[in-house]
Amino acid sequence: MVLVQNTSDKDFKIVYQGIEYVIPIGEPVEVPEIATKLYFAYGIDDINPKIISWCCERMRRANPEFTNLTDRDIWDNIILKMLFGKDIIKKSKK
Amino acid sequence: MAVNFNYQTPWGMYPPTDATGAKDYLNSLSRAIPPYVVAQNLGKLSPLTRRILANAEVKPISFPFISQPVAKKTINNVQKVDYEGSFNVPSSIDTDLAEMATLYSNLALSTLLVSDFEVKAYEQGNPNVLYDTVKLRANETWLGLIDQIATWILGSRISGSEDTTQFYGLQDIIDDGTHCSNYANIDRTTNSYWNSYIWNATSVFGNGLSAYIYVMRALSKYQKLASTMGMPDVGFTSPAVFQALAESFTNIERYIVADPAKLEETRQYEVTGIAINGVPIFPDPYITTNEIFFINWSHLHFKFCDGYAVVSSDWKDLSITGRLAYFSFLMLGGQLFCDAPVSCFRLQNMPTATGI
Repeated sequence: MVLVQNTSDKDFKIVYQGIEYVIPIGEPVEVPEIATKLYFAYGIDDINPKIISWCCERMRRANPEFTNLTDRDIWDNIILKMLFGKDIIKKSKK
Repeated sequence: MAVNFNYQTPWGMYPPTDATGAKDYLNSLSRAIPPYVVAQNLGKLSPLTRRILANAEVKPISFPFISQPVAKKTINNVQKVDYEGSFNVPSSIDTDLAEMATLYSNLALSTLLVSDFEVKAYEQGNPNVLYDTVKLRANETWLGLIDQIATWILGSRISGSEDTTQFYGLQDIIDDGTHCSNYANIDRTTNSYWNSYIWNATSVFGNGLSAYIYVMRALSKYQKLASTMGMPDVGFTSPAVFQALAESFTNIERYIVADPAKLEETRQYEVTGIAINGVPIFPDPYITTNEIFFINWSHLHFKFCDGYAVVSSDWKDLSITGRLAYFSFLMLGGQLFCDAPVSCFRLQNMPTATGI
């Protein structure tokens, strides 16, 4: 499991193997590591446009309200606003 | 004149054999059953399973793997050549063999047990009852095995955790990673070509549209986004979605219910489909979700393992285990495989007809 924190301005959810994980604004929550790779490309070294596109596709599928958002909207304004594990602790200490 | 029943005089423990006139116990199962016979033996009509199994290949497999080159991406090495005729010679290969999909082939087995009393009773002159009973049980064991295979390959081997001894199912193969994140030992998070599109009909295309319009829009969207492997050949869906799809046409064309001249009982397995934008869509009772699986036959195959496609064993004597009985077992080995998941896609949350 990986601790994630949503610092974007939108609540959303992710779905992995039929289980729904709600990611509210601000509050750190634990989600399976594979789900963070699937939705946020967490831990992937060489991120390319195709991987970005699939992350956004999965986000749209899990959140029908994002259907009309472009890949750029989702990537820049939501996925890049996610904090993971140690980054959350650092931010809290600050 | 002596009546010749073509039986020997059996005594003691003996398994059902040709000599005792009981060969038909296993004839209904047959040994080394060819794939098309497998496909014909479905308890519940499943045109998709029938199509997959009837077109399966029997491959010699290096135990326990099936390895298959992956249709990864379009290779564009096109160069413009001027009148000097020069071009650049490639310095590296285009295909990364390390990314070849590797699957374990799986094996399913079902057993059939017949008591010695049943065998004796048959031999002693009551063939019409007991013969048929044993044969029926053999047949139903066979149907049960194929029914289970159909459920597996049209379903998923992931339920909470992944059962790697089960055949892959369509829900594992046609997936974007959120259900089966590692199909055939290739990671879907980092290998974007290994994903299939899954669209929610109403959230992507809008509410309140006719069912056939959702299909038309999905096919157009697929053509725009991902048709490098060609358009899908066929769609399969649940009976309830199929019925809603059929009913969505009723206000624009005449619907012929039946032809009285053909209302006679014939042994055939024809299933009528509805073609939308050139892609026929069929109902399949093993699909229980409100979605359509669009399939590209060039990239989805079932591979039987040579030697397990499909076999029944001889009768084994169970007296050594303290039982006056014999048992036989059926085995089916293989794997469902797609070398390009992006060539298939799913359209979910389709309208359904109630009561079906």
